[in-house]
Amino acid sequence: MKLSQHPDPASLLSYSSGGLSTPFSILISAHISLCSKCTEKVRLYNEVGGVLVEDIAGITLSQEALSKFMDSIENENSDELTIGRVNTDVKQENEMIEIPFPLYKYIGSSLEKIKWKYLAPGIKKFTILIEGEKDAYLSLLHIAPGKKIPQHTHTGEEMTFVVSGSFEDKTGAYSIGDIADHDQEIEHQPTVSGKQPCVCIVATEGPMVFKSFFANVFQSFYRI
Amino acid sequence: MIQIDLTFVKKLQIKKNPKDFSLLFQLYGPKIKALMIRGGSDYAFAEDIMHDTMLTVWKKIDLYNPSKGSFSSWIYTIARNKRIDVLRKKSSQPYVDINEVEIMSNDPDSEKLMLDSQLAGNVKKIIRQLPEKQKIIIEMAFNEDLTQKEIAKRLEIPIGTVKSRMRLAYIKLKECFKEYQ
Repeated sequence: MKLSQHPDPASLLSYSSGGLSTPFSILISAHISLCSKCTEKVRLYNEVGGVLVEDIAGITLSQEALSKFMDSIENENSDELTIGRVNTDVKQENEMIEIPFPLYKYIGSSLEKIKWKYLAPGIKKFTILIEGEKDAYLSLLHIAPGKKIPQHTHTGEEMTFVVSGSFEDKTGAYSIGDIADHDQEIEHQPTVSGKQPCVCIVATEGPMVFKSFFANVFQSFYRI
Repeated sequence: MIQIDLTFVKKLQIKKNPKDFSLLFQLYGPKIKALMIRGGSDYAFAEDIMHDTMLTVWKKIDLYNPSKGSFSSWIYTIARNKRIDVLRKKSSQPYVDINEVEIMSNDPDSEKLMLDSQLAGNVKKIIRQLPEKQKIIIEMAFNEDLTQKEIAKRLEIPIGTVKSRMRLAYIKLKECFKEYQ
């Protein structure tokens, strides 16, 4: 798949080092499952992690660590795990369905099964609860063709992954598999392009801040 | 000093010999423990993660593909995922194991994914040559497990500066690919 909009290299670095919150990591996982360019970047960053592991001075293990480990591996039946089987399953499922596999756990394998909640005319929302996550949020949005989200900024980082359809704003045009990676400095008005609804997953660190008074009143009730 | 080279790893992939694997454990176990402690873990937690990491290495050693990255980077990603799994109490971590991902594409870019130990050598060289300000940020991210916000707070700089230094480091790091290809 040819993707045209990618995460910021700084976000990919934080993904690789484990410094992103779960909602943002989920979206990057979905993107790199489709994007060879970003897979390449993450591999490069993982090499950085590997080099730092090589260089770090080890800390002495407890006396029983090695014997405990040797006991564990002798009890393991490693033949049950093979990459071939894992990969085959992943490929087969991906050929049949539209959802990238890193999202299955959170939204299932089909959009038809989503229990949408009405948010505003032309906009439906499904909140994805992430256990233990307090600092960031994940929502699935279904937005009708031609619909505009009111002009807004953010109270933190915002990352959007397009599951189906497309949208555009002043930063560019985004279609399936693309990521819009915005910080709180960005003020924009995403508009669904094309004739299909746009379904996207949005990771945020806080609520949107709308430019319009009425949109902010709406926001206080519905929190998007 | 134990030397683990690709021949040694390939030997383990062909035949999982616990005695040979104990050498791998003795080399990487203390390093993973140190990495966890730098990331803020206590000694007991660090050793638990190290144990789980090395157990996964044992289980999945045959899945390691040297054309997709160095052995150290493979171990690093397993350790990172284990730590995140435990800290976030997830039944499965959100990270895609890129060694297990098949890109659903015939995009010729995917041909660029070929990596080997030469790349690891280039990465090491470039990290050492990074300007101190960029190197500190990379080390804080990878060794101390800090988020961009935490790095900004620690260094008393705006988060935008942290991001731009990460981007600058990336520009230099991607030279590794150019040198390699």
